Amino acid sequence: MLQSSLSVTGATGTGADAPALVLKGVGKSYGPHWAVRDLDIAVEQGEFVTLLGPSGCGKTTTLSIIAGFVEPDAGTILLRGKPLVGLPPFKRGIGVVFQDYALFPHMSVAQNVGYGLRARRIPRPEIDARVEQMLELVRLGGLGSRSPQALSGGQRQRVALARALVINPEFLLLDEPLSNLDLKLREEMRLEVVRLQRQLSVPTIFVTHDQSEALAMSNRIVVMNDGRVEQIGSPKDIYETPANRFVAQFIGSMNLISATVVEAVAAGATGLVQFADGSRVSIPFRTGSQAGRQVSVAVRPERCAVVRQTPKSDGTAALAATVTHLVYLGSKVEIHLELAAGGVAVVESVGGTVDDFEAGQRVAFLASPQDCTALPD
Amino acid sequence: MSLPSIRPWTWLKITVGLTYVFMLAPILVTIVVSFNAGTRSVFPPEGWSLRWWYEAFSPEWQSAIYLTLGLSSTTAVLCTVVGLPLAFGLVRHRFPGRKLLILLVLGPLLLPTLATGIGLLQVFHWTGIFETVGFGSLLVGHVVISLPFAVRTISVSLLGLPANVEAAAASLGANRIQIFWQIILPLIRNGLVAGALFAFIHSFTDVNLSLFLSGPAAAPITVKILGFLEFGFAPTLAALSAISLIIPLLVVLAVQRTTRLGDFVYAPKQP
Repeated sequence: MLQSSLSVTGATGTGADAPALVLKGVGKSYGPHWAVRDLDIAVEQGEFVTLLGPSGCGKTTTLSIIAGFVEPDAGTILLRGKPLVGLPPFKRGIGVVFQDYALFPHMSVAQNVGYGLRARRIPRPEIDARVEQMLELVRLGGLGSRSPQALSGGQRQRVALARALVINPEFLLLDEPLSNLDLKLREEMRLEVVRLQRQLSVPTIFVTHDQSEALAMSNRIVVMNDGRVEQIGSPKDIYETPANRFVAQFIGSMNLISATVVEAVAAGATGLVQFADGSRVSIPFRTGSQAGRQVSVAVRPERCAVVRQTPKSDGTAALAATVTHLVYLGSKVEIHLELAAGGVAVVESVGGTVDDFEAGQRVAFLASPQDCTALPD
Repeated sequence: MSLPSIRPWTWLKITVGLTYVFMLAPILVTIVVSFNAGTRSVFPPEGWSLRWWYEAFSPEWQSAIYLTLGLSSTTAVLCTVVGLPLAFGLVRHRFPGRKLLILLVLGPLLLPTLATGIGLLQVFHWTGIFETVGFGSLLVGHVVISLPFAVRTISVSLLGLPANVEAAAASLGANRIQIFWQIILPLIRNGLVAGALFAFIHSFTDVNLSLFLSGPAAAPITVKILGFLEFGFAPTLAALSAISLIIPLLVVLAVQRTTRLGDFVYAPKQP
């Protein structure tokens, strides 16, 4: 049921498949500085979308604009087709979980969870029943009479989730809710949050600066930088076909090797590039390019290889290189190279041993062309 | 244990002991003297009697105590009611004239009360809003000099509100009025109570300002005691001093049972 309403294209459809939330041209400025600008984001019914970016990229501002804590200076926001701009937060019906949980310290766990229902003047017996049910759902059954101060970090997190979800929100906003937990608990809560979100099928925007969280939890990721959207796509899209150098370097690590476009190439087509040492290779282009333009050839360290001698040409991109140093990481070894064509590269060798290579050794750097992408400089 | 490690503690203990002696001994002496059987205030007493306490509870003194209680309680309530919106404005908003308002509110804390008293007396005289001296002018004066205590403690508690609880309440469907009554007010309760208490004590123990603003029909107990002193230190005064000491003490003890006052006495933040 969830899959049918899921979309990985991000198209802003209409009618029955209308997105749950649409941001169109949203911007917010503080003086001359735009905190966010020209945001176009659509979240489908039941979808889990992550805003990912470095701190100060505008992701939390975006969240505050959707929740209604901050009024945008430009653009429109539609929640199930209903415009939100100008509507105060308490009329939006959007659940919010804050980084510090923001539990009410003067209320018990059950009173915290029931607060939204009391504000809606729902009869007492119904409140009690729904709170009880929600506490069971977040696995806090029987802790309703506790004070929030008497709970562990993970339990507080669950209370905050229960409090936001019990009002049956039309939309859920999560502001780095896992960042205050220790590593092990964080990984546990990732699954827990996704489980709840799937079970209740509530469309969600999750804000984080943690790329592994984003990759593990999301249907789609919106990569943001400097107040703008850099790329929107599924975790696989974002990781394997980054739109530009920023996305390539922000998510995982990426080798970027300068090259020149030999002949004009259309977007999505394969084109020939030439490296500074004269070697040529034909690789996919994400965006079209004219001949003579500088591009970066991007390839993930785990998709490359190092061999002692340059093989005979078989279409594989092979560049002469010198080993600068090796980093032993237990399950894998990083081989750092200096390329004869200019620049540096890293190769991750799983199952290889440090003894295979040594610093100063002349080697060949290999990558399969379909694992490479040309990114505009 | 070696000597050098003992010595600092010994000195500290002596210092603390002396502080207590100098603070508490005069009070104890006053209380003991109030039970003196003789007509002179001497220590040690020349026998035991309750006659001065009967004297202290005469209708004349009783009315002065009631007036002071009424004045201080009303001052405490008014300071809280006026101080809450003031503290809100000063803590939450940046507006032109904010610095001036801070100066006006906290000013009486820095000025000698004597100067405030003379100033107020002249204002009342010129404007004729109140009879120049009396309960009305006393009340205005006491609110002016006690307000800084209320505004400061309420500001501290507003600044100490947990981040995002108001935003959380709003996202859960609470409007501004609900947020104020259900979230903010319960969370700053300690600050409100402490502010009212400090205003009460400050008003109850004030003598400088009251000297200027009290009239024959309306004189707080402190002013009456001062007036009576001109005829010598009768043991009645010792009993009255004890009464005016015990009342605020009882109030503090009562409030202390439900409110953590220490937060506001020892760790004041700047508003």
